[in-house]
Amino acid sequence: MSGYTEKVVKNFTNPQNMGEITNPSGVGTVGSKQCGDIMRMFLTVEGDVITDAKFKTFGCGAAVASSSMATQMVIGKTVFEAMELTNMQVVEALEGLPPEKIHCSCLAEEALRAALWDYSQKSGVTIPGLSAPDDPADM
Amino acid sequence: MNGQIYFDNASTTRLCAEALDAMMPHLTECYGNPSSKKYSLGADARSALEKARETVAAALNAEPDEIYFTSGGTESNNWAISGAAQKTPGGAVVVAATEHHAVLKAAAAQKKFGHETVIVPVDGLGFTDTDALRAALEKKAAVVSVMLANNETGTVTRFGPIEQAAHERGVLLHTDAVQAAGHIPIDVKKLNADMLSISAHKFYGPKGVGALYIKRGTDIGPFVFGGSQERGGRAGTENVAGIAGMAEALRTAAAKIPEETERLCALRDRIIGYIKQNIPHAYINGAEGAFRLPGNVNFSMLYVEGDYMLDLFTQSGFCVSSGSACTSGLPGSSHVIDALYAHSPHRGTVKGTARITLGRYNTEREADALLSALPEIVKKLRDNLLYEEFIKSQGK
Repeated sequence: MSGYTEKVVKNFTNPQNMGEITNPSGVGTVGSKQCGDIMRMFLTVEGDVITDAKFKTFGCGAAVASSSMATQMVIGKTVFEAMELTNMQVVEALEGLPPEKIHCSCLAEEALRAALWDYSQKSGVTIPGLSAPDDPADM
Repeated sequence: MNGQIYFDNASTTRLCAEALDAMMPHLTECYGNPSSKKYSLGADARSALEKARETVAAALNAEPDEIYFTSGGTESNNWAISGAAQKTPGGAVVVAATEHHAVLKAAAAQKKFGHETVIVPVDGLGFTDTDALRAALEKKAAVVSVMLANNETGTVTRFGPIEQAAHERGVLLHTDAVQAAGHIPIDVKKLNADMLSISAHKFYGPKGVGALYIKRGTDIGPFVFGGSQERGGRAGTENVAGIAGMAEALRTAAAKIPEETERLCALRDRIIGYIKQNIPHAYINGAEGAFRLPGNVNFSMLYVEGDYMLDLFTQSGFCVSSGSACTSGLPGSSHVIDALYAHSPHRGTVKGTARITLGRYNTEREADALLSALPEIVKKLRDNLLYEEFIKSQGK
């Protein structure tokens, strides 16, 4: 009907893990030059396991759905496993996104990595493959 | 589609039964070519065509020989602009900032033939700045084009001062009446435009057919080259079924204007009133009362993402349209909304815009359904990062 799968519609009409975590282990904010969307992700890490993840966005239905799905996918994973999460896995879990909305899933991946980076900076835990995110203020 | 409420009548309308009935014979047994006048099959098509021309003319208070059939509003606009431009070498094409792309891009396309485009600004309600228009006309101009009613905001142009400004300088005047025809009364003799465009599918007629009114004695160049159809101005075998449907649709719509205006304005103003009273940091775009098309509601919410607004309306079962998304310059941003906000304190502020356009087949119950759904849609839209930060900054 709208080019969205049922999974996507479910995740933006009734998003999971929307909100914020006070005193998070890691928080990251990213923005998209392409459409003006902003995504912020919060993580609670105990040991090296992500026990809670929440998000706030400014974006379209696909951006809300991507963040909702990404947070659901990383809860229970170690930070090292979460590092392996790709935007295409988020797209798969959502049973697809329209081509022009794929960049929304990239934003979810970037927000997660920005939050992981913040966690690694605060905790001193090195996560292989992780680098500093772009400053959203530059966008 | 089941469960969908259609509130996008400015995009297109449902074909009315009267138009379909008028079209059917020409899609079935009456298939003659109107140019084959020697036998009755062709002669019948010709007479249907000329009867349609009379009907369209009557609805606009024009003469039948002033009506030229085209493939729609876009073609009519393109013809008017290019046909007028070529008659005044080096003259500018002067258009309002809120024109449809069918005018703006047709104007821009004349640059390669030596016609500069001059864009005249509008005020915060969408009314063309007449002083700026007069100033623009101090230079040599080929044609002025200002729409009769805007497709996004529904603002109805105050046409008198524009007509005076153009004709004082002896410049041809075109008006895109695609959104106005069949919705507000049109009298070409009172308007005194030299050219006027209409499109059938905006007034419950079929898609792919429209007309250009060209006032007697107005000299513009031809648009489509080939046979001698439409007095040599627009060649090609006529879309007889479409034209017959358009004529009947326009006749029906024009007759219904008084009752429909009253009914739709009441529904429109209920929705507008609700938005003004209940949605903080929301703004109605366009003029109000008699200077707004009867079925048009257009509003922007600050710090709301335009696409998400549309996504939520769609998922709640409403077909509406987005005026624009995000801030100026971003994909989906509307030149019409940007022009209205040019001098606003909210210029450049991120906002989502929705256009809700009611029509003949919408009921009061459907408007009620929208008003019941709005609080939940607004709540979801406002649960976002930017709006929170904005509210926090307001508290400081």
